[in-house]
Amino acid sequence: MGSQRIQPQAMVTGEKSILFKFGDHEKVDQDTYHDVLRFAEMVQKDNHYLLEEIVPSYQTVTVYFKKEPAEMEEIIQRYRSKWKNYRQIEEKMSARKITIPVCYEEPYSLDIERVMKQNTLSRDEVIALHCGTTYTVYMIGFLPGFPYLGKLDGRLATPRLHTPRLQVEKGAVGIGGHQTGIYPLDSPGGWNIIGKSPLDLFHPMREEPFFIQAGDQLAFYPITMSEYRTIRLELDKGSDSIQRFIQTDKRSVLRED
Amino acid sequence: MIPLFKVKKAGVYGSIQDRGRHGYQRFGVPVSGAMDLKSYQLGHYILGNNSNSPSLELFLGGQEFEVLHDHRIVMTGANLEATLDGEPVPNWKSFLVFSGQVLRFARPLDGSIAYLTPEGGFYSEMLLGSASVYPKGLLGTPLKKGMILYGNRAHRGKFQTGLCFSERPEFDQQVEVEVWRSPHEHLFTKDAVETFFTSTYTLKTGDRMGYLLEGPQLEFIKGSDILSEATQFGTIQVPNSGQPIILMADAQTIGGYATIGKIAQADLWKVAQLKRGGEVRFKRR
Repeated sequence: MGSQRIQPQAMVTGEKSILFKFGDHEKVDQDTYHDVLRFAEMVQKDNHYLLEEIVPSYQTVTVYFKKEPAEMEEIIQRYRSKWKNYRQIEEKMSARKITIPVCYEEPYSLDIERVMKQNTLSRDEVIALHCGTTYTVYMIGFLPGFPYLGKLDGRLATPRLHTPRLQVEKGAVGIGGHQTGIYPLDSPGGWNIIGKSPLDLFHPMREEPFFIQAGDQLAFYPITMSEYRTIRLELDKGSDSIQRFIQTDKRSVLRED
Repeated sequence: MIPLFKVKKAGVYGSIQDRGRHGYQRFGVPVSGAMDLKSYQLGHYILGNNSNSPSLELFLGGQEFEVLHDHRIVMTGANLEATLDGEPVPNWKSFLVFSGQVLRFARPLDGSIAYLTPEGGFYSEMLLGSASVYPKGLLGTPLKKGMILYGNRAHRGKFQTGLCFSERPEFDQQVEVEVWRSPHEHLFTKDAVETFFTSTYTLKTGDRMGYLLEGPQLEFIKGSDILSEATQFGTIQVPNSGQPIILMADAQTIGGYATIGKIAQADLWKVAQLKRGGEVRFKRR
């Protein structure tokens, strides 16, 4: 079973970095991404003494080292042979499920009418479709804590704004083309804003500064304005209470090899 | 911790930097850290500081500081025509400053970035393991008028220490840098790759995130868009405009444009010190 694993292409891209590439698709592919996560997990567990950090993406894993390793080729071979024997048991994948409360009411749903018009949907239909999908978090980037999510329901796709806003508020939930996401910080942005979440995706002073990580499953659910305020008050009192929005499926908790 | 300087003028841009914030790129946090690590390190070397102490990184001049406490400092990197109470002060050589004096940076004479380092380094809040300021991520704030900068401790040394002439870097405005091969080379036309390695590119504008170059346009077989993947300090991105962008210390952690290489680490300081209009040529390593 293990011998059927596809070996990634490897390339040394700098003094301290190796790129591992799984597949060469132009589209996002779940199986490839599954390999990416598993490989990243394997490199982490291998814990090379020079390992600095690992950055996964849709189909690549970039491994950064603290110093220039003397033998890059040896490290590549080491990962490759480990990968060959890395046991493929689906149940072992961690499956954190993140639930994100979103208030889709005024004044937070700045552009929801654009999304309604574009797709001839009612407000409730937009909300139902947006909350009806479980999204895979493929990677975090663009801003600290900004999640790149799996595909949006095609019925919600809406072109970006002609003129990006100079400031989109932290917590804003938006749709840009075929993508959806949440702004972790105030930032310029061109997505159609349909709601706002009271959660802080990034909080440098919190014990866990980042709420979401690559590989998580994420779903939105609608809340009222008063629920928004309650959650906000709760988080202002203790930022760590955000943990209650994470569920880890006990049956699929990561087990050591 | 002692108050060292009060910012009277913030100038073009200035921020506290150390060797960078490592370990958070998969959460979208850039590494940051000094743009010209060589000059940054030499500052700490001259003063005998811990090699990861915070320094103040200054862009292009315009900054003005009031000294709040007698101390010993050194300036490394670009010559920004610094004066202390109107008298010129040297680079690459420590000197004493006294409470009430005014330290001014006028304009860049050679490179573009200078480092101001006190004995013992600056005292600065560590966020996610680093003092490096990254304002976009709410990690620290850049220089602002009225801000107080603190030193880690009082100075002990009285004698001047410096770097001999032969060891001081020179900031040429025409540089040649070595480049690591990109995994996206096949997305460019053969001519484009040839053009890239035989032409001169000019620095149009830039900041800590990236330097925008201008030169012969690079063509793609289909286009520049890729499925986003990791990028780093030195990565050369080419968007559909065909004009390269060198990602600098505050490089985004992932990018969706094809890249044509990564600048060798040993050459990054040369690029960082280019001024607008400075020229760069690329060669394969």
